[in-house]
Amino acid sequence: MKQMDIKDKKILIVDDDLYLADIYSQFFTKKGFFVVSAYDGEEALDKASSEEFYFILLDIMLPKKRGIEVLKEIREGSSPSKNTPIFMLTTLGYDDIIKEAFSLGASGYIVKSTLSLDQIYDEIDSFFTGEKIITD
Amino acid sequence: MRKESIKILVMSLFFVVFIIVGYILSLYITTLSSFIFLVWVLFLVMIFFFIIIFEDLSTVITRQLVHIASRRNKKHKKISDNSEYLSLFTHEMKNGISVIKGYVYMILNDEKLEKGLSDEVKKYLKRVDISSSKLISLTDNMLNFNKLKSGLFELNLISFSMSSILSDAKESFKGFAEEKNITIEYKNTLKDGEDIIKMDRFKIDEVVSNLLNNAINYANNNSTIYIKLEKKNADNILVSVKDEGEGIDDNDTLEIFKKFYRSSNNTKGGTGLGLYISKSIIERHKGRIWAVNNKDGRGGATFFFSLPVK
Repeated sequence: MKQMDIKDKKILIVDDDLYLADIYSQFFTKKGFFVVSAYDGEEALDKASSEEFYFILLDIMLPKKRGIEVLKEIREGSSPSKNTPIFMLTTLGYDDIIKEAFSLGASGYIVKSTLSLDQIYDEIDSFFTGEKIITD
Repeated sequence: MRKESIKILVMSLFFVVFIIVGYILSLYITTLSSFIFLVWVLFLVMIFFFIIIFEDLSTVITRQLVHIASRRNKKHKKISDNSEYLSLFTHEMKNGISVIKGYVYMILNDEKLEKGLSDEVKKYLKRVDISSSKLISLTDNMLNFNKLKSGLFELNLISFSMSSILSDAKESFKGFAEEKNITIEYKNTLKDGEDIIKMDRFKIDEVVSNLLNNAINYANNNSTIYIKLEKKNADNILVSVKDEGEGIDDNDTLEIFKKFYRSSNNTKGGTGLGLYISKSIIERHKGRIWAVNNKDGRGGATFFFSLPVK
């Protein structure tokens, strides 16, 4: 079974909930990633523009700039993360926004309340290894 | 005002033209000239009154229509305000529950932290996790119910593995099942890749969670719950969740899928929404969902749902 290439990979995790950001950051650090955190839309955009990430976890509901706008600006601009896989974090209930996110080039969406941390990891892993999920 | 004066001007022009035409006609038809002219003028007067009355009526009708439309808009606005509030509310609530689940996970999955805990503390933490999952499921049901009610329910279709949903669900319900000493068995008889179908994976996940949650609630202690994934026919896959418990009252096998319906032998609480929402989700996927009582002498019921492969 193929594995996600983790070593020295930098990832960006964006969530305005400090505790959730902490949980994700600790979880992915333990897996071996180098985690950079951002807590609002503008900070996320700043960080995404400064360097290339392996993948980005991007919350939809963010202060200052909504997740969907951050996604749009990263995809449409000349950021080093322009082609980085971006997974939208949601709590379900924003079906129309998820549709919009896919049309703007999101790589997937993760319902953070439904999936356990291991399942979130598997979800991202299967994106890179091409198993389990085939997004449209 | 401008519009009104243009209207009057156009109307007066028409009248002048009509009167001139009438006069010319009366000159040509000399024998009945004055009579025809009189009829012509009377005819014009009638049209004039008719226009005035019609104008008046049409204003009244228009005003009434505008009124109805605005009332309808207001009602619609209220619904969308409500759903927006509910979306925000559930978002905050689920974020909070995710934090609880996240830290419980971190404690139980960290070697150093876990070592310092007694078995009792670990058991209680697992219960915190189980209850948190139930709260999330409850919130999802409420949210989807509201979306169905207000017509904002949508599917986000992706190609996804049904088998991975079922095996993940088996894992997440393990803790809850263990509380009643219930074993969950999962069997997949499909060939590799046959289980990948177009679906809204999180909504199908909700259906499976609702069925498993019910199965555990109604199953006897020390029993087994069987989840099975198989081929129904060339066009459909079939998922079943079988429990060994009290089963369903025979009159209720259809009723239990109705909104707020609570079976007469319901002793387990619940909102009466889970199966109704599950049915709506499956039907939106063009699938079917139903329940039967087991006839193998061991009691309990089996819930089935089928989904089209394409």
